[in-house]
Amino acid sequence: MLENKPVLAILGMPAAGKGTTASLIKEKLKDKEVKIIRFSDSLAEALKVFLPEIGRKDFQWLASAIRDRFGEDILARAIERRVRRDDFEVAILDGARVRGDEEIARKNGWKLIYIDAPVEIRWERANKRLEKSDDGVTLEEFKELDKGRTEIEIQEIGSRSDFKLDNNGTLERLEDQIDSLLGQLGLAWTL
Amino acid sequence: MKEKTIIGFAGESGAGKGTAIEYFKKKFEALGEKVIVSRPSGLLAQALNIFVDSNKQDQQWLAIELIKQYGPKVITDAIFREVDDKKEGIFLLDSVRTVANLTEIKKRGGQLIYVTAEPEIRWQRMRQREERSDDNVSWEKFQEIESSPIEQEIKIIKDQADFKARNRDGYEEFYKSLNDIFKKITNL
Repeated sequence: MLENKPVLAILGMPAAGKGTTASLIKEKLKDKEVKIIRFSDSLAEALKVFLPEIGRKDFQWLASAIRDRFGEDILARAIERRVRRDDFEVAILDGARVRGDEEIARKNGWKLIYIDAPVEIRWERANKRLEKSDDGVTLEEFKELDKGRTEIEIQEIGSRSDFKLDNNGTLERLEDQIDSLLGQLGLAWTL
Repeated sequence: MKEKTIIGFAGESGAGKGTAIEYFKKKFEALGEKVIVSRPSGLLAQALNIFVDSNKQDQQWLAIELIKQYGPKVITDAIFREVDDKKEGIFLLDSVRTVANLTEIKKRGGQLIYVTAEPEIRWQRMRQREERSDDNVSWEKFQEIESSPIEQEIKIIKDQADFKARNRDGYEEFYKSLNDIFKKITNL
């Protein structure tokens, strides 16, 4: 790839605030053409070729089948293709989670941004939003889910990330850190 | 011409469906029409190329996985959904293999062209093209494939085709019969 468009790969534990961070960055860069790309987008695009309606089970089926055939990092490779193909000024990737994703991010010079928040706060947030199936569990169960293979890996990658944002307080505090981050990346002026 | 024209192509292996489709595509495009050639491998490649530069083996793999998960109609349903979603255009559907598919074409006011040639000619042709791994087969193996249930169903479709194009006396004759069919379909 000749031109190097900035790509920010956001990762974090469940309910850490990845989606919120992605939206805030997009909002703050409203003068630029910002594209938020989710890791599941490629699956949705492929499923739509064959299915009139897509559900959670379809995503799980294709994710597992396509990883078995093409490797664990196949979703990151699909994003790599899309980044080359699509027109945008800044891309935000939501949901990097395996080591393969990290390798592809490094290879392409994408910035890894880890969103960190204590488990108690994440659990409270998850209970408030209740949008995913894991969002209505007890704190003990939530802590148990944190010990899953993927979750451990997310934390490991997080420890090596380029930037770490603490999302353990107010929205304003998160915003300040995002302002500073965008300033350091040369994408926006900090005040 | 009406907004949507659907033409299905059926025929035995090696009869010349691909050549017939290319011919019709060029003829329609020369009239300024938008032509969409729809074939299972096209949809499979479209989905796979989101992830990788896919090859024939990948496409076969995905076809098998899709059918395992969603049943035998999943791919052809997608083809007809693509036809239904578009308001206009010339749709050339490659490799109509089942009576069920033919029924779907008829339901939408489409027509079927059957491309045919003698077994010996097709066998020779397939040996020459070798584009698929199963193309270079012995005469015995070829006859065995010919008697498979899929090939048998194709013969039923033959009887219900709107047009038949015979492809045995060289390209000139073949193109001439395709052109006759083209004129009838377009009323030119």
